[in-house]
Amino acid sequence: MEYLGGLLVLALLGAFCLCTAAATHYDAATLPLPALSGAAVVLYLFGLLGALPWGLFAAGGILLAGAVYFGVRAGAAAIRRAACSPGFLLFLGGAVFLWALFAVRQPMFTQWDEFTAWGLAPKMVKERAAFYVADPINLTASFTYPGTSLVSYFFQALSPVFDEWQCLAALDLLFLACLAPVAALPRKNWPHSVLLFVVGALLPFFYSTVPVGTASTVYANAMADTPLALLFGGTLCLYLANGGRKTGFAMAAMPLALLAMTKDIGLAYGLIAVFLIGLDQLLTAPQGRGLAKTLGLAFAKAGALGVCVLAVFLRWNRYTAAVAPGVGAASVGSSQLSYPAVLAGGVRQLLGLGRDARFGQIMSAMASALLHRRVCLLGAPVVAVVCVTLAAAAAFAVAPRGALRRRVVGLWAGGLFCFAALYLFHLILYYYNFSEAEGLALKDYERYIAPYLLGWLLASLAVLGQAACAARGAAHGYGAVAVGLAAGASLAVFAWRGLPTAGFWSNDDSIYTVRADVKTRAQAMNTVLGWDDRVLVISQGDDATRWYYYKYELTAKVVNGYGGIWWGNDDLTHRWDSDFMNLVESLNWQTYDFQAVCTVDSLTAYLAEKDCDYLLIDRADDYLERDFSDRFAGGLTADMPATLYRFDGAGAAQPFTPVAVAESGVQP
Amino acid sequence: MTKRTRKNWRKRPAKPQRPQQLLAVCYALGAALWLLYCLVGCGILLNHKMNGSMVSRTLTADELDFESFISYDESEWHTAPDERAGWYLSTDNDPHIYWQGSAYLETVCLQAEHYLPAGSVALYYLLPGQTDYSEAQKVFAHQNGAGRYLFELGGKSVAGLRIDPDSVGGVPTRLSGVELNVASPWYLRFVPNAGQWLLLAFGPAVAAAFLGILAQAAIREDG
Repeated sequence: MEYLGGLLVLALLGAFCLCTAAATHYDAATLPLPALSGAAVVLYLFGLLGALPWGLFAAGGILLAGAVYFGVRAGAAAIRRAACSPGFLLFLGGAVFLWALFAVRQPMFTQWDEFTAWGLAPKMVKERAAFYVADPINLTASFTYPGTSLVSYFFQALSPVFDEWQCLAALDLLFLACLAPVAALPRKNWPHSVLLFVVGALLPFFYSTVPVGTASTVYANAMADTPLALLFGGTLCLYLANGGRKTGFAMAAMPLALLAMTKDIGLAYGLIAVFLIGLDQLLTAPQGRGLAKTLGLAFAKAGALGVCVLAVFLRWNRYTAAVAPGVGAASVGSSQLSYPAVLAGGVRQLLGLGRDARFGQIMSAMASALLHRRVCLLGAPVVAVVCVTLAAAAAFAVAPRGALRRRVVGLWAGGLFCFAALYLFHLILYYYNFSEAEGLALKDYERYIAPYLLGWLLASLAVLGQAACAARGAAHGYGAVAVGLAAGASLAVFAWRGLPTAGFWSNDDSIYTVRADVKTRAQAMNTVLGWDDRVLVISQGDDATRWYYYKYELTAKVVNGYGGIWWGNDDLTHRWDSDFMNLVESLNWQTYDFQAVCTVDSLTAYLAEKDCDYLLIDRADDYLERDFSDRFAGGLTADMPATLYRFDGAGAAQPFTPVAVAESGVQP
Repeated sequence: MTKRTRKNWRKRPAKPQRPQQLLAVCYALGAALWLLYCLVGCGILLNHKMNGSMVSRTLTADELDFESFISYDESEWHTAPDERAGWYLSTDNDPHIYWQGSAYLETVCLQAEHYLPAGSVALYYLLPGQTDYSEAQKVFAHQNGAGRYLFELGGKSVAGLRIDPDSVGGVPTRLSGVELNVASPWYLRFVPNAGQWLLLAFGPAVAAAFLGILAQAAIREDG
């Protein structure tokens, strides 16, 4: 079930989409995204109530009941017709392929933030069957929004254990669900559908700027940036595909809710999507409908969608505030200012009212980055905006006069306005939310700017596809050529600049050797440890990499170490809080990083102070062998295997008793 | 019934192909191209075998150059993890093993025991005429059994190799050799790897879509 569970969930999702499409005459390609998002929202609601596992039954039950009801109503012939949707077939084929590939390859998390937040959170949700925020263990992940964790949890519903590859594959299935609406075009235009889907699938590579020679993490990534981008773009595409129907706009509600619980900036993305949908409702309203009615309807529809976004976001913040006070999910930066206070202060500085020098410097850096900082394979954000403009221009040129042209203009102009607003918002965030050095260096600029550009380009491609399909006369041919050129250009750019040395498809498992080693050792320790245990991890010579891996792997609370000098007495003058520590006799910065002057008395006093139950010595060295051995049952040696010691209290003659030993996974 | 002549063959209106037909043709072409690719690969391999540029051999430590390594055998200040000869210690996180020579290479296998986890293991290659190793010509290793790191170059004439056996530094490593062109069953050449499966699964559909787009570009659709 570990391997097939996800495929069974996918089969249920696919059956629901097909039967619903057959009964409602929506394109089946437009249904995976709202269905999957809906399942995540159901899980979210149950999670808030502390009954996450029941949410699985509810989500699965709704999908199954829907599939049966709509399937019986529609009949086999209609279901067969619905199954001929190119977008749906691409979604299903791609999903099965990726799940099978990941089941064989079993990629692992490799990025720093995956061990502290974006990978840890799905792991905790699966293993504890609860939101990690309410869980007293590993609260480092408590600021992580739950969207990606819930998608991962949904696809691992039938798996007895958490697997990193399943989490990564689950997020990829979400990506494909986001791409499918781009391909929701009339069936006779199947070539447009296929090409636009492929272009969409290449967009994460287009917006990946990792150096040549680095193993690409695209499609093997638990971070929330790509889900944010594709949910934003996919929701717009979903609306564009179905918004023409009376209640079609409502299908965007569930993806918008999922978008709002993906990242803190998801609120802004969700509101931008709502704004663009409202604008489109205004611009594409049937002629002859009065202005007041048009305005009222557009406002009501956008307002209803906006309520979904705000409700999810605010509920999450209230929930975290209630179960984990002090986490600070609803505040910004070290100053812990509220969002309104940050916005008001930022806008004042933007207008030149009391602008300080640092704000001015960040403004200059942001202006320069717009033109020069590489966020995509072709260059700076301004180049990405040009790409969007080209797609919009092509769509405008081939679209028939009327609502579709107004839609193209609305999406482009509205998107540009929102990009400008989001850009200024990030300028404010760099001022309030980052340290001085990080703010001036525009830390992670690509990660913050690229998701919007990706989503906007995806939506522009969708509208290009719609325009090409709706074109008449000579424009029909030009539209087909435009779609073909867009696809050809994307493939050419990918082949020219975007083909990574290694990626999700390649079998480069040597990059996981350290991870595999720590995993093997931690599994041996986990036979003894429980979630309520507190353990201090010592790994002499580590640069904190192994410590973070242990923190992720151990089923226990890993206690932070200290830095500086401490002799185990009341004088804390030269001791400071740290996370990982290498024990040394005296400070010598050439020996190790993260040094802590620590004697065996300091160590026992520290363990007692932190109420530790265990000490894990991953690696010892000569210092530990020489000065610490007499307090450890069996002694210590510099080349000893990783050993977990039970701590019996500072007063015991030999406070450390070995309880688990793990040989290295490496062949000595 | 009208008799078909050369003249009225030409006059028959072009009938647009159904998507299923076009897809079937493209997938059949894809399979045929794959077979051709494999056969051409076999031909090139045979040619290199016959002209002697493709050899299967194992390079020993004497044939290799080491950078940022200490040999335990030659250092009296360091103690090797065990009594066997051939242990090296990486002194920083970017140690290199070089091989200078020309060969046609399908695969390279680093046979090494790491006393500590190595981090990523990578190989760089020089093409004829090149002097500097670059990130663009880099292959990550796949672990092919205990102490065997396999690099798949896919058939390249190289003028030199650089192997980075660890990326963390301070790793005692016992080198058994570097094997060039590891022997493998002939039929494995016809089994696609994951990337090739990806291309075979979706490439023909994309090709059919491009052909379909061309056909649609020629159609004047009137509303």
